[in-house]
Amino acid sequence: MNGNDKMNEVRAPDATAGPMDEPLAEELGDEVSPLVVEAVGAALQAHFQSIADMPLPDRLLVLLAELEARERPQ
Amino acid sequence: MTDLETPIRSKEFREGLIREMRDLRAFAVSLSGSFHQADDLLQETLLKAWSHSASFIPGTNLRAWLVTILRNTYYSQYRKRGREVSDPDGIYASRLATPANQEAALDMSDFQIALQKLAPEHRDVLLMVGASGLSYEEAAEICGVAVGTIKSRLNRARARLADLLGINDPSELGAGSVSEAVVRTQTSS
Repeated sequence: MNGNDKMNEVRAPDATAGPMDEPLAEELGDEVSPLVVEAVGAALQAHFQSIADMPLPDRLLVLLAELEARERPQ
Repeated sequence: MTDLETPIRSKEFREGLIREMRDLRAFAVSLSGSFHQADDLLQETLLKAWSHSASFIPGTNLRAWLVTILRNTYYSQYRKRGREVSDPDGIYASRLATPANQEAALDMSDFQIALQKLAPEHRDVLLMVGASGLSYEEAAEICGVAVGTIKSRLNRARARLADLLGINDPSELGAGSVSEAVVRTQTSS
């Protein structure tokens, strides 16, 4: 069993998986300009980082601590 | 499985999990559009990851494994709420007057609002590849679609997002203006 199979063990059915491949953007002639790709990518990274920089809420830290405390010594 | 049967998590697994929590939260907030829902998702993901830790193979991509769990949890909840609709062009989403979580919506940036208007399958590919740094192949494996489909969804997500954010005119995006566009999307909430 490889890593991907292992990943699948906790996978629920995919709500977004389509039965067929979608046409590639270049086939549709709607490729996005590199400058727009860069701008969108930079905005996305800034948005993502602004959230990642926030402190984790206490309830998650408490949960982590509880899970770790439950570990019995080997 | 009882507590006594619970396997001992490796130090690497625990440390990796803690290290990924902040980025995973950013993924969850961006996917759901709500801090409250994101924290519920993160809590459930943490519990599932912990209890299924034996199925994670050290040396493989922990982030991709966690994103898989979180994403599947999100779509499972999405289906339970009966809100799943076929909306490949984001038409339904664009007509939503307000997101489900009013409180969180008050703090949303224009960028987050634009993200929520993307079709779900476009939004999560954008987040997986464009923000979380997963490869096309990893995203394809997670979504259960071909790599070409991931590239197509990513392209459409970028185009739609650029349109929503008003940064879709390359002639206005000369040197230095990319950062200006970013600042504009981050500060105009």
